[in-house]
Amino acid sequence: MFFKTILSFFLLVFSLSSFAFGEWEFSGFASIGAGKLDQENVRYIDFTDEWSMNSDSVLGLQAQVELSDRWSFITQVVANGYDFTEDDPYTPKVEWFVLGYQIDSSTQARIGRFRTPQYLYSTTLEVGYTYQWVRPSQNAYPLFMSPFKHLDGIDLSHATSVGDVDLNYQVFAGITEGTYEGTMGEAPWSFGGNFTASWSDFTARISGHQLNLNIDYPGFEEIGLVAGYQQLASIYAGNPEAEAALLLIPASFNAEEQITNYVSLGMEWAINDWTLASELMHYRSEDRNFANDADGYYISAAYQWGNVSPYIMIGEYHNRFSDDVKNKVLASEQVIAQGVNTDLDTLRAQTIAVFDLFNVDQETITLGVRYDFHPKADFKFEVEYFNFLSDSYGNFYPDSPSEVGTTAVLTSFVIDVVF
Amino acid sequence: MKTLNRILVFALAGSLMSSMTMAEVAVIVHPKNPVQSLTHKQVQRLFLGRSLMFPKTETKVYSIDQNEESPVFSHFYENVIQMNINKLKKYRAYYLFSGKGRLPLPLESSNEVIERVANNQNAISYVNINEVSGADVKVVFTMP
Repeated sequence: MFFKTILSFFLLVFSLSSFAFGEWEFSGFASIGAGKLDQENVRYIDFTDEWSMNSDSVLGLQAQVELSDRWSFITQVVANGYDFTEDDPYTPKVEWFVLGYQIDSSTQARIGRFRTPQYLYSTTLEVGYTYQWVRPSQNAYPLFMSPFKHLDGIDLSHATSVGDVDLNYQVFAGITEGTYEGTMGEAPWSFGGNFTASWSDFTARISGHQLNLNIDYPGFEEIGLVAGYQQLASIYAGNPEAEAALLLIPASFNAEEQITNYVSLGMEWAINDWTLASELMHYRSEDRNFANDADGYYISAAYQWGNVSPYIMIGEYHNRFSDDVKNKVLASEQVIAQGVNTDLDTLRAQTIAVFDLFNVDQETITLGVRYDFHPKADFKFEVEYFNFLSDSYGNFYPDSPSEVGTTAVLTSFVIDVVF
Repeated sequence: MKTLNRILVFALAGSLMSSMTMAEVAVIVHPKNPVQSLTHKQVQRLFLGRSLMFPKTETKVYSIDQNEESPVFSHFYENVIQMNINKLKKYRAYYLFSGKGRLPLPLESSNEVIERVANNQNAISYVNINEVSGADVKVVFTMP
């Protein structure tokens, strides 16, 4: 079945080719990958201890047209094998739908849907052919930001040069929404900008993005936390202080109009046959309700040896959940002391345990190789080693926390094609 | 020994032909293009899509590529644009799928390239300089 799928994929993509129809130009990209964890009872993206193909497999089609000397239009439809939502695998979604206007030789304005330009590779996040690795490092491209990978809005970009240095500025604003592992997020407004300087084979980039977020996680209701507090609050209906303290806890399980700031620094340096790349991300949100702070980075080195390019990448990721909910649980103990109600004690302990799961510390080391076996296709193989710190499970989702080890290894490969 | 000599003669001839063919590359535009000459940096910016209009003009760029298998293609990108072909392929894919614009139109031969440039006021391409003679195009940059 597996090899049949790969064979079908090859037949499909090599029979495709970019083409033009009148003024319209059509092109596309595809990746087919597979991976396997060395751990049971745990999931990372859509990887488990069985070989699975959804996480890195994707098909994208693009159409673009130059409507006049100044106006252009581009649309891109992408079908991911897995995109952290509950949609069926390979559900086609519009990722680009944007009208561009060339103001002058170096300034362009756009309106519509476009990729949120947060990182070095965010505009081609799903086009595996454009980067070195099987997938960009999740240490610097945090998975929880995946709902906001595109914006519906406007942007303005300007390119200039000073001596031999090319400079690019971009500012953007827009709205976005999406789902990540059952958490629904929406940004009724957001804005940001980035600045890129390129000199010879060196590129440096700084990017910032502020979002006003509403976050809702129905999972707290599904596991009974919300109902639990509501039932116990009804028992204390005659004690307004106790009732209010208990109801305040589940009221903090979501976020409304929460200001979050995202900053990333990136660089890429090609020195003869070596390419060094690194990105650092810094995410901060207001310390109230459902909120988190995250930091991460990766450093990658690749050596080009003909069409073969081995690489190594190291990185770290740290996520701290807001203490706001925990503090409200502890505050309730000032009103209803521990030992007074065993059901309440259990519920409070569960709440703290659940929120502690969001606190994540991990280190990773990745070894891999890219082989460009065709002018428009590559094969990549990599092994990623995860070291979980602080008794956390990194970005993994355990079936049963006690059964997960302190390390894990993900083995994966992918074939990327552009056409 | 005879075989070795033949190999050496073929290798020498191939090398001479290659250096003759790649003696100089000329960047060409339509005769009515307002641009009279381009700097090396401007040529690089135009063919990498970093500038979508000709410098100091309102003329949109319509770039045309030679066949990817042709010697002039690899000579032009490695020596004039100064980007190796492996990196160029990745850059082009990044450029195309990040919505920055269209890629240069690839044509099969220098004759087709010259004909297309001669008939399109926005066009820009490159050929061996010895192929320009008599053609209705304007040379705006040359480089060995």
